[in-house]
Amino acid sequence: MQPLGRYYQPSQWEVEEEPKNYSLTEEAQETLLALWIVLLVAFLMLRWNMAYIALPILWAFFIAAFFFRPSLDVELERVVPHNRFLEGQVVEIVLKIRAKERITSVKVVDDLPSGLELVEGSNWKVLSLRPGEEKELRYKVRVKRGIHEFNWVHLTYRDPFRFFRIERRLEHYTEIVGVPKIEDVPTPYSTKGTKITVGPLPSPRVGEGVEFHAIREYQPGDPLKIINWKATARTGKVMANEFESERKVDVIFIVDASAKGEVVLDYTVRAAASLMLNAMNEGTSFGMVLAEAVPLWVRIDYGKRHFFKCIDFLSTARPDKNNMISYQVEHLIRSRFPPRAQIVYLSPLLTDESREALKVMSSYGYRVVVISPNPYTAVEPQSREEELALRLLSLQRKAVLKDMRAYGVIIDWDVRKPLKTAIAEVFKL
Amino acid sequence: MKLPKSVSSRNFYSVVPILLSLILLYFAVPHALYLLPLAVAAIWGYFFGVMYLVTASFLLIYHWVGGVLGVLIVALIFLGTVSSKLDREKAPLSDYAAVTVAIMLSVPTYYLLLPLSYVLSGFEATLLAVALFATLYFFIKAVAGD
Repeated sequence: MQPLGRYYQPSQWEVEEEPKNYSLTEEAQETLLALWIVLLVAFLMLRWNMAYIALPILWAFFIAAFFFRPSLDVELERVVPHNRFLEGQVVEIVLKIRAKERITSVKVVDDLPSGLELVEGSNWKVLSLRPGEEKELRYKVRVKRGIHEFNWVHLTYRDPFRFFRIERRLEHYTEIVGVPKIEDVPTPYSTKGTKITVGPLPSPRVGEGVEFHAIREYQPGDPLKIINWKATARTGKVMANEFESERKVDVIFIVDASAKGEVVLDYTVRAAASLMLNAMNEGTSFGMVLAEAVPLWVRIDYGKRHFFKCIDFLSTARPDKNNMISYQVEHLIRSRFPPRAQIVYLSPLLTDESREALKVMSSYGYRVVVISPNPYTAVEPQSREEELALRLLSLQRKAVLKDMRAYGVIIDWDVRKPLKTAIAEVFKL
Repeated sequence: MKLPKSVSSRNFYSVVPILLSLILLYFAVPHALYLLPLAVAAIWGYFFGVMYLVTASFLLIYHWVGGVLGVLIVALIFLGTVSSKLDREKAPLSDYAAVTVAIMLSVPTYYLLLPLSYVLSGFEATLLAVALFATLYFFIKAVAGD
């Protein structure tokens, strides 16, 4: 099954041009009005031969209109060191502008995606360029988690008099991905168990612990070397061996992105990324469900490439207002999840839907470990009333988690502490 | 002492032409010092600069202060007004140079027109008509768009 939702796309370095927009500025209009008034005054006071005192204004308009009208022909290049950055990392963006003609004064504004925080410099600059000259606009941004798209560069030319404005927006696409912070965490589940598989395990440590499980009919797509020739001769049908592993089970990470838990969504995503890194280092194959408006299912696989694919998808996680995680999970259990998989459910368990999803997982016989970032530890009370309210909510949450413990192991994570501490507290590591 | 950001983030080249214009105006027109607040405001806002230009032009026309002095006063006020805008944007010096040259071209132009007006009677009227048409054309274009 193909993953649903958004896809990561690499950066593109294309410049598409849009039509130029010429206009008179407010200053020009005010000046024209002044010129009009001066001439009218001269006329009405019967001193029309003094109209020449308006000569400076006429000269200014003449020079501005006929000597300062460039076509803003420039080449652009946006340079970023990589495509992926850890959230919180400071990145320098360099926009190179090369002019093909003389441009006396052009204001260059680079598109700054909303998910990036400007920390040094400015995303705009007024430049003066000679033909063939290249100048740079440099600024630094702090990357937040998510996909950040730079779409355009806006050029605004104004002649030295500020009478005529020529605007041009050049489509220039660059994309950077803010990936979640990852920390070293212990494994909060057991990978011991049996896994039924056809042929070799999709694991780098194939061999140990793979034992014969059963014989079944050969199906198209199965490798030829699993054909059991003796059984085939005996039954008259092509039969194949099935194996089971006593070493590792598949792990499925389910990330709840409901809008109600927005305050801890970043923590949820970081926890998922950290646990995926742990799974990759342990050689465990894992899949991921990102329960957003459109659920995103990344099927079970292993290795670095798979890990980075999951991280890219995790980076895109956004709060979902109409979260239907329970329905989505049940549908995926019926159609995609392998039996006997270990589920790691990352959710603040704030909504009925998210709690119902846990019950569904448990009802289908899955072992579930819930990493539940506590949203009330992520906010700092500003008043005594707020402190009291947080205490009450925390008590309510404790009661809810107590009920939920019947359906899985719950790790109540105080987000002010590292995740590994929360895991260690529950598993007495 | 650290200057406020609004002051330190701009230039003050426009003070020179504004000050010069005020001095010349003071010698040309009585009570011209009443325009001092407008002249000061012209350093901060383009609109006030235009107000100063219109008011000073009115006084010059009313008091028959023409000639190269009249042209020079209007040129300096206009230069100050445009320069104040450039000051606020911290424009490159080349912009100031272009503006100064273009506006000051009005002085030699005046001397060019002067003998022509003696030879061709009614030349000022023609100039006025051309200026009115040009103004009307640009104004309509500005209001109606391109």
